[in-house]
Amino acid sequence: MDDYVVVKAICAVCGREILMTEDSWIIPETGELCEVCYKELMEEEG
Amino acid sequence: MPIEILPVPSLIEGQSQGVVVVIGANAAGLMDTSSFINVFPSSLAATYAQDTSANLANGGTYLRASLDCYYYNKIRLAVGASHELVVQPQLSYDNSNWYNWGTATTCPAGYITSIPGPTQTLLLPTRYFRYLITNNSGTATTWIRSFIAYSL
Repeated sequence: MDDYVVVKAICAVCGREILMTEDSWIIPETGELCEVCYKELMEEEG
Repeated sequence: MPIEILPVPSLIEGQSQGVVVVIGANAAGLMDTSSFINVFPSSLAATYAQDTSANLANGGTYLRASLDCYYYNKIRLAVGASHELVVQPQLSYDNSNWYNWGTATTCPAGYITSIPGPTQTLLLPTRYFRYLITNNSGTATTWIRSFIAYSL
């Protein structure tokens, strides 16, 4: 298996696969998010 | 825009030259990337590079993308934040199964913390590296900024 396609998690917001080679964010009561969804969430809360 | 000049004793220790870190934050206490300047000692400046810059929600966790260290076997990590947080380096041999590397380091608010110590280096026994940052300050969202230096 190619190291670069290993899936780390499924984004709790958009459902996209988050690969090991991508940053991810875990929000309590929400789950693990991809970078795009996390930044959108933070902008909404900011 | 408020600008703070913060102490960085853990990086100054053991270095022949001092370190200056200027960190800008907005009125809400979150980072303002336009005003962040960091200067490491000459012995480190050539190798340290900014790795992550973001705001981390209270109770939230940031999990860095895995770093393929095929061409590296030494790593230094430095992390700064506006609120206390915990950093846990992790290793993997297959980019799938991850193991904690040593114990987690608590980084106090307002400091750049060098992991391990400023004159030490993490020696990589496996190929993949990443780190987990948890904002368990129990207070508020924090900005985080991390730096990595790696070499053979």
